[in-house]
Amino acid sequence: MRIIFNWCSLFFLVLVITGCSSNSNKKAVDPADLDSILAEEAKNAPGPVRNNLSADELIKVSNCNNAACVQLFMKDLATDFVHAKKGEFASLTRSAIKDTAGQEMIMPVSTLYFSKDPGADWRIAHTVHKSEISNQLLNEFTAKGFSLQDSGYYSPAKALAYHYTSVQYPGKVLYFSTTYKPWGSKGIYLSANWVSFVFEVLSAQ
Amino acid sequence: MRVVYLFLFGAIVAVFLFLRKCADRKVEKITGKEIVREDEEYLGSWASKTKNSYIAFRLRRDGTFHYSLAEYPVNDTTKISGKYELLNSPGGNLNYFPRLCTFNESGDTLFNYYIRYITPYNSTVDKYSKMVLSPNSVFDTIEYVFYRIKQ
Repeated sequence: MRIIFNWCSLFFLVLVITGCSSNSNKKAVDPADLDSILAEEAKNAPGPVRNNLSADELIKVSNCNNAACVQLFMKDLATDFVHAKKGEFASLTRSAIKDTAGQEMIMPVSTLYFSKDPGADWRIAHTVHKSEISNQLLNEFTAKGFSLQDSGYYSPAKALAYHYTSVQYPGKVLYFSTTYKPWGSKGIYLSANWVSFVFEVLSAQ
Repeated sequence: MRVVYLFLFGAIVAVFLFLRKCADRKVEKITGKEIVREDEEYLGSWASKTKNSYIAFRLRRDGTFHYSLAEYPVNDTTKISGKYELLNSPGGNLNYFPRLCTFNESGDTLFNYYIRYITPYNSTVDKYSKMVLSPNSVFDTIEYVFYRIKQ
């Protein structure tokens, strides 16, 4: 009887000690400390340091011919790009982009999308939403010897694409297009009404 | 014999959880503060601060909602009370976050935000308990971070 009583006492002791002690409540902060906590959190979570992929990175990622390869490549860039869902990476840098009506929208400055649907033609496209960044990226390719070779209607982007090649990168062709439909109905481009600058590096093989 | 022990253990755990729940409710009644457990991390008082304002709201277990907004440099504080509802994604679709809807006493909607993130009960990652609300379930839109505050 005494043993049972002791066990009961222990049980209630545990109940008293653990009851009313909530992990979530322990993590509550004092309203007066909010300023310092916000500053601390901002310090611990440094923001993205760049807006887009470089020409070098686009050339490297163009060697990928499956989703796993692109995801592995983008894993190293996780501080600048978020993996939104399969086939969709978006820059963590947000900016105000103007649509055709002149309305400003906050959205990622650039994205990297690749084909994920079974049977779809393989495609990796880096889409930039600001003309200044687009010009800067195009200049990077120019510095690597890419020069305009041809142009033609490019059906995946539903627009005219300019083809650039470089003797330094044999077998690589840069397709550059300015369009409102960089990816048809996918991700943030479901009903895009802002201009996009699409960079695609294709491998000849 | 082992089955008996297992049953006994299960019974002890069940009794413990039941008594803990009773103790929690009693303490809540006495102190007026929510004792938050697993799967009810949304309960309690939350606050956020910007350069221009201080927003705080409280979600109580009985479904009532209290909201206060202080805009600087004006010292007046707007206080609103009402009700709240948590709406889960349709059909348990994981592409959508649960939604927090709050209404004032006359039924007007105050909040209609997705709960994009909430610190889990046993999280060892977050130092502070926080809730991230977003007007849209799409990842690349605006988000508001609220911290659990001591009541």
